Amino acid sequence: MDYDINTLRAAVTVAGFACFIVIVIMAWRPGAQRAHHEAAMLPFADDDRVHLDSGETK
Amino acid sequence: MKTAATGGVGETYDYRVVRQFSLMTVVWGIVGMLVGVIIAAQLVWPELNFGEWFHFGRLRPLHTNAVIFAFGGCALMATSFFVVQRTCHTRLFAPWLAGFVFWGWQTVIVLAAITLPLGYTQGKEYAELEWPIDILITLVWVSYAIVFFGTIVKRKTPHIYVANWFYGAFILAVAMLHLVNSAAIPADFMKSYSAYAGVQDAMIQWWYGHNAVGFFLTAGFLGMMYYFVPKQAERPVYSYRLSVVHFWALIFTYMWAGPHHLHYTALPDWTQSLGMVFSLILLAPSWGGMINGIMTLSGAWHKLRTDPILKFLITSLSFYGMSTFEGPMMSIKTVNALSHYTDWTIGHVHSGALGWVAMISIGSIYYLIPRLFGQEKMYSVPAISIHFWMSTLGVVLYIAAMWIAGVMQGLMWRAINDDGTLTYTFVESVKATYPFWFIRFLGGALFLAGMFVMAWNVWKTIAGQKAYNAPVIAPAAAHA
Repeated sequence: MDYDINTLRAAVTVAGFACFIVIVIMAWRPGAQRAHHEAAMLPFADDDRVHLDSGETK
Repeated sequence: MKTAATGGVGETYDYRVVRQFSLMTVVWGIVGMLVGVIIAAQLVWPELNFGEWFHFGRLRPLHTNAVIFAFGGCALMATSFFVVQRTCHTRLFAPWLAGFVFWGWQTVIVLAAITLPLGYTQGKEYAELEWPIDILITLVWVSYAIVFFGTIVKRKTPHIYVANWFYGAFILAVAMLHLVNSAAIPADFMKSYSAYAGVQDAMIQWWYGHNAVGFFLTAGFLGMMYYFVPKQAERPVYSYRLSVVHFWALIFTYMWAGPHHLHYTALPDWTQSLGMVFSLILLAPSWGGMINGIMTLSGAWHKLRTDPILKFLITSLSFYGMSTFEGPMMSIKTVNALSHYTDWTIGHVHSGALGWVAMISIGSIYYLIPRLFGQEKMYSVPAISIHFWMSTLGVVLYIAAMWIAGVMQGLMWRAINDDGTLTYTFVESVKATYPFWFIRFLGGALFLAGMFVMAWNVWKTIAGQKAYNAPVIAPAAAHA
């Protein structure tokens, strides 16, 4: 078999697809649930309403 | 200046650059859309083309650059600098560099507004600016990346919130696109020639062009969606797992879709087909994002009745879903044979640009402005509602007119008589389009008028108010 630039292109495409499949499996593994929940709550880990008694005005 | 009990950490977020970019989003939105309404009027009333500097051909790139890079760019920079600080619980990395990003970006915009009407252009759509400005863009963009990723590195949270993934992908991809597509050999100070030739040049341009849509106009604004929709709906995103999968699917797929801009050209046929197939695949991750955003409201739909900011955010997602269905459909070669070069394309673009990009930005800016100036809410909430209906009606008028005009043009251009001659001359299709160009002008003018309502509301909210920087609060344990 002759190797040329197209062999490399095909290999990169296959590797990219394999990588995506791994990402999907990782996202669905049971242990990911907890981390996902923690991350999803990040926007609510602080209160961004205005509290003029704290913070800084100028 | 007053500094009081500042949470646990004793410092405040860098809101200054967020404020600057937020206000300029409104200003450039008005400028960019005004130029859009002017060129729409020039199509209806050709007498409005004055000389070479005020001609459709010179003003059209000014419109696209102003709305994408000035309005969209400022909205992305404002929200990304806000979101990355709030979700990482830390001040910006190198705030002085963030100041350079703001002033550098405004300089780029002003230079574009001067050079494009004067006719200085590299002739590449959405990459028209000549090489000295390209170098300034590179400096600003690298600084933007340093501030953004530097802030992520010094975060106080174990996770990087998904919105930051989207903003990060947008920053990285746009850097790569800009460097590759803008490569040129300068001939003199304001003239250069592309480093590529022939069909390769065309392919690189549309690899750039479509990924500008995919990463600038999609990934960046999805970052906005993933923060502001949950915050305004006061519930976490529908499925974090879906956000991970649709992020990577979007990243892997968008890069390949560019060839659909070059159907039936000198581009090899297999490349065109590849571009079409990847465009069709793109429907899945696009709708994954849309469903994730809209379903975040699941169980809280009633909030849509009373909250006009949420109306902007959720309606923008509906337009995102519509235009990401339309796009793959138009990339099918047989559909493209009808739609390409017609006003259907313009309708499709504005369904995305006005419906998705502008409306999610407007909703996010309405969220930000009060928080940046020590206010609880915008001066007039009913005015936000009025703005919402003006925008929605404006977009619908615009895209419906362009759909009809586009399909009509495509059918007229391909109609042939029994003896094989063309049924219509080109100018007959132009004549038939006038009524729809007028309706489009009305739709665009209505959308622009809504932006003036926003400017008034923003002015009333911040006039006489002091700038406010919120305290940095140590991350509460993220449980619920």
